[in-house]
Amino acid sequence: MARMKFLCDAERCIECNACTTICKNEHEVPWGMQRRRVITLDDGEPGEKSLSVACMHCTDAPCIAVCPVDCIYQTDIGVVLHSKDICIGCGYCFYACPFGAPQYPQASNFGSRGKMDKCTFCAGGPEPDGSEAEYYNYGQNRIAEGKLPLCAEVCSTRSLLAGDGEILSEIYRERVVNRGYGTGAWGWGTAYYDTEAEI
Amino acid sequence: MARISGLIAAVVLAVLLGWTVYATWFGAPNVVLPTGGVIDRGPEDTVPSGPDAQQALRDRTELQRWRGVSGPAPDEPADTALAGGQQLPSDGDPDPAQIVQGWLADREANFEILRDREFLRGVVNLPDPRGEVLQQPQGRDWRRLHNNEVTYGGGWIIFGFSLLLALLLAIRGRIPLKEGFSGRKVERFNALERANHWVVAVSFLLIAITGLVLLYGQIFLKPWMGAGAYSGLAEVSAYVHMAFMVPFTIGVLLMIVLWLRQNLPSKVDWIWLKRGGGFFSDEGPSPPARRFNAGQKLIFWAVVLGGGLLIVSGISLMFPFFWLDIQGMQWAQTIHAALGLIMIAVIIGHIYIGTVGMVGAFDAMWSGKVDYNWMEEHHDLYLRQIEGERGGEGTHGPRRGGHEPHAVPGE
Repeated sequence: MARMKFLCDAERCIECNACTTICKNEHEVPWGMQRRRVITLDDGEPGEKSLSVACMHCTDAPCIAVCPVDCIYQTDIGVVLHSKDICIGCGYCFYACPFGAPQYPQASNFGSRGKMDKCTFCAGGPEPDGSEAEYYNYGQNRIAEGKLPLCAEVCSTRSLLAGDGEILSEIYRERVVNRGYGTGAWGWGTAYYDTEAEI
Repeated sequence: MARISGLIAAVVLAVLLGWTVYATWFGAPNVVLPTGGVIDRGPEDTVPSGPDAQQALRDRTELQRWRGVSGPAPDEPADTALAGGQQLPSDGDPDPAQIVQGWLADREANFEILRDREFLRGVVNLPDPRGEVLQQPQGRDWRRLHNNEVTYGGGWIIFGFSLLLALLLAIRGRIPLKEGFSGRKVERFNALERANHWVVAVSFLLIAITGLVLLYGQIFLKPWMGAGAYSGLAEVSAYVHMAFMVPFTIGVLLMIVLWLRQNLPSKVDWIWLKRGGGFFSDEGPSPPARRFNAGQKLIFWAVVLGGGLLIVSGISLMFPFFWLDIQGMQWAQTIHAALGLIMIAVIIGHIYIGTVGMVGAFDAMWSGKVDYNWMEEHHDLYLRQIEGERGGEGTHGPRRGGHEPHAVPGE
């Protein structure tokens, strides 16, 4: 079973923001919202690191657990998607999300924030794949075309990786062995293995 | 009759409480499983996830290896057959729990590249301070509080407290008017006080019902309404919930203006509380009270302080991140939900004692005029006071076998 994941190699990210920009362009994400963003830790100090972060498509996803109208779902390749027809814009998913991924078109209009928008792993939404309705609501569906998320595919330093988690983990380990250092897979512990639930 | 209804209500509430207790410990496992996109029994999302599609995505992932290994990217994706939204053969619907187990199974293999969970904040080239937080693992704590403690706790508080009231009614019956109705009325609340009370009451009821819809509709309404219809109801509920906050806030502020002075604690309240407000026994006279007895003062302060905190936390939720950060928003939401549920239980108690629980009490807030004997029994000191103000006009009222006014130490 392939399990889709993101991995950002902090040693390679040069904070060029190409992932942020290409994502906004590819999916026509409106003003004020960004599905992906680049965060710099310890800016201007030794050990400064930049990381690109978006929805990590968690195992046991907190957003799905707290959604009061059950508009978010996960597919069997691990991609977390949602239906904007069902969403009521309550903001609970933002409180629960460890990575601040959900975005809302309005900061506040007496609490009505509009429909939530977030990274879809370039897999669209519940509408038929490649349909106009799907594009209007969620942007491109690259997964249906056998392609991976554009943010990772444009990354010039191959810092941001997307795809099957097993292969990503192998790629990252090989890099660590070759260059002799690495700070780990940021966010993986929180996103993919941090569940106290017994199944 | 009242006691039999109380008994029936007690049995029903005991069943509901028992069911809540059962659900708290033996409810559905609190883990999210993949559903393949089925919402409201609708069509499955056609995200390609069959074996061919998975192999195609794996092959594509391989291209991200070092170029010396992966070789040049092919001119055309190897999987053109997948284009055009064509649905792929499904994997034979494997059990969702097995899928998640598979995802968690490689934890040991990846252990060395995992980092500790920690709160991380950096800088971001976006005009949005929310974006600065890279990772906030306490979102999981908020999720647990919201899905377990708050959701089930609400059932415990509301059903539990209602059960106590129903048992009280079954065992004790309504609190009677010992002297019977005199037929003569005294004013208890004037028109402004009553109008304001009902503005707050109606607002609170609407806010409480819509709040319960938002918190529990997913469990009780969505299964038979369907996700689409429930989403509409939830959205309307959210708007009603916020709109009626305006009259509620104005009403509570006016309540403070009208009633604050008379609700300051005094020595009489201590006597009232020590005697349980005459709540549990018909023996002897009711404890003395001025315009508001200690129980009513507690309701007043619960509404002012609890309602005030609900208003503050509610406005914080209406203007997200206006003055709170992510942790502050999580606490505002948790406090708002938990306190709202507690206030619902408190107000259920208030409604009970004002209607079913005590004979003659409802008139005070409805017509504003209560029976002379009721006032004598429950607010004797206030009755003395208003009679004194009217120059003894009311002292020759038809009191039948009334008891002596209570001596109050220190008064």
